[in-house]
Amino acid sequence: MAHVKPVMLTLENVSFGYKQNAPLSIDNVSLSLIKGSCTAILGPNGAGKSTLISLMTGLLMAQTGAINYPFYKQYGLTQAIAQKVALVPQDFAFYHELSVYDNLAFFVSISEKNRHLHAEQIAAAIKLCNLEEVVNKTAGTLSGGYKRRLNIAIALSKQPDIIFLDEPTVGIDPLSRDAIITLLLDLKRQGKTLVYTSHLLHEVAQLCDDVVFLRGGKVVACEALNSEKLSLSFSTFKPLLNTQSTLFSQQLVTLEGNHYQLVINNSEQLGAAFSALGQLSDDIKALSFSDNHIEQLYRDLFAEPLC
Amino acid sequence: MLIHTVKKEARLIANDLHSLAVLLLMPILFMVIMTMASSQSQQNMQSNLSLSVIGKAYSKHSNVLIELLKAQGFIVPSSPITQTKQSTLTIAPKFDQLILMRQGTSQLTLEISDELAPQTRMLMTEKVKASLAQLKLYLYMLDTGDLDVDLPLNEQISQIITASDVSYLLAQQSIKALDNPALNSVPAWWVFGIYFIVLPISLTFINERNNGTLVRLKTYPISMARYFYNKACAYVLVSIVQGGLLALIGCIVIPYCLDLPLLSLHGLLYSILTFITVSCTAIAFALLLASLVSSYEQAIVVGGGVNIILAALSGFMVPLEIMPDNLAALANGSPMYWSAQLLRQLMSESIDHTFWQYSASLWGFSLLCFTAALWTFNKKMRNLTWN
Repeated sequence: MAHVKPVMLTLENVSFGYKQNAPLSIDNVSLSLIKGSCTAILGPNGAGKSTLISLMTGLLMAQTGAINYPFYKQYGLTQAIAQKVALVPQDFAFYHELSVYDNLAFFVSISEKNRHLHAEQIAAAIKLCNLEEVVNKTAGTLSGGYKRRLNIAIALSKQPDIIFLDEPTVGIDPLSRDAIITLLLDLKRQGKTLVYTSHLLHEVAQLCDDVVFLRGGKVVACEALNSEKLSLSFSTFKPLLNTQSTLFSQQLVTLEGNHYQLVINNSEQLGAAFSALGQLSDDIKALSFSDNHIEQLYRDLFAEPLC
Repeated sequence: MLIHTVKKEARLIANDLHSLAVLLLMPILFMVIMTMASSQSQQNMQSNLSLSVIGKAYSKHSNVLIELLKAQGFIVPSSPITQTKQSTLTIAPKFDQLILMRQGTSQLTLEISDELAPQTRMLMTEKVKASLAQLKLYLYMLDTGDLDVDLPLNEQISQIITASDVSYLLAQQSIKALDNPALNSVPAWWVFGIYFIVLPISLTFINERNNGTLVRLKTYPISMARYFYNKACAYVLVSIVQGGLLALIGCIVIPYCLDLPLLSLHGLLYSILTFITVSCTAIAFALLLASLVSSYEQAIVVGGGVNIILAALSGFMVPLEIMPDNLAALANGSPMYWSAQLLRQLMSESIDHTFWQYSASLWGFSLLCFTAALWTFNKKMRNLTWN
């Protein structure tokens, strides 16, 4: 018998508008989050991502529809969020004048009533986020990477099951970003459910299982990223002629300059692509494969302006 | 949680040099400058009492008048100085004939230098009047035989001064305390510093709102009202510590350094009550302003501006007695004035029934402010969302 993972959060036909008679900011959205999954919410600016996350985290109340945390039936919505949900805002949501330890101690003192557990929870968060070296340093003096880790550590010190992350790797060096992505993958393995917003689509591809595309407050596409799809990118010495483009059996997307991309959905398309590339071998400058086809999907969905 | 909140708020202020400067350095500097200024002003008043007497030849009593003026603290040059900034007292020819008459044209002209401060001019006029009153007493006692006409002039003057001394009729102790220039400046700038906690509180609120900390806290198992209450308690404790430090410096260090009598607080219980009352009011008022502002610029303009205006209206910058009546009356509605009056009574050791009136007014004001602040904070928090 297949093991079914529990649903952590469901949204059923949720709508929300900030003003009466104005277009809805969230329009009839339904989705569900599975335990241990990472779901990305993507969309252009003003698509409704922030509003949707505000609704899911109880910061706003849905005007129609229902939001439930079925895994925590024993709690009400507010209690479930207070006990099991943590936020990692894009800004450094902590006190820059306090040390790393004092920041964690303050937030733990709010989330955990049992004082005997405070030290243990702080230590666990420090260890998970590799903050041992800077634990006594003032938060404001940390590097961008450590600040990002502290931002996440504060969320983890609450010992949540669901974590909402808003661009947690913005403005940091590649090594620090890798460390954070590794940490988030570890959290997924531990069964934590992640909700992720970012404009860095390669990170989304690396980390997320599902992507929800929002536009004008509506879900315009939901995509599972664990499929067999591949993205093939190549660049040429000079622009391809129309006759050369037609060698490919599926639509070829022209990126900047002489860069091209195509999505391969099955082995037949893969064979056709290799055949076409073989005919163009003298013109090919560089070639790469990726299981990240999210970028093309994003471009397909949002290239046209919203009417 | 309260302990952690107190620790957090105390460290946020202690680690911020700007906050420390606003809460401690600024009021201490004001205390020092204003105490020095009023102390120096008193000394200047005394040293500025220089008066040239012109027309001595017209009166056989002019020597007595000059001695009496000297006894009042005037410096009277032996020959008249004709500088424009010199104050002069000119005697008219018929002065001796008219001195004992109750009516008639004035026979003395007092011209006070324009360069003297209004307080000094008033003091000079009163002292000249007192000298003239003593001269009349001298002539009367000579006439009645109560003063021996053959006594040397200095002994006659001594007898007149003794006969006109009324200081025994006044309560000496309170007069001494109120004479201390530190008593005016220390309570005023102590209160000013305490109310300036509005700036660190506003900046913390704005930081928490802008960097997402409050959004994060909204998903924690604590109501925002409870968080607000904990913050208020933490700030009251910080304010009481600030008040204690300022009191120590204002009552002991500054008077000691300026060679003035030390100020003392009247009773431990009264002191504790005053500190708690003033701190609670300052914090409630600060929380209200902090919950209203949305940016650093607004915090500085509203927080700083309101406090400076209140301080001016409360007579901290210009004494109430030289303000127009309607402006001076506004002080009675200022919480800063009530707070300063509590401290003045505490430091002058003259607590009366108004102590309780001011205390009740402050508690009423703080209750109103706290309720309004909590309502505003909750309203803003309801509208606070992700990003």
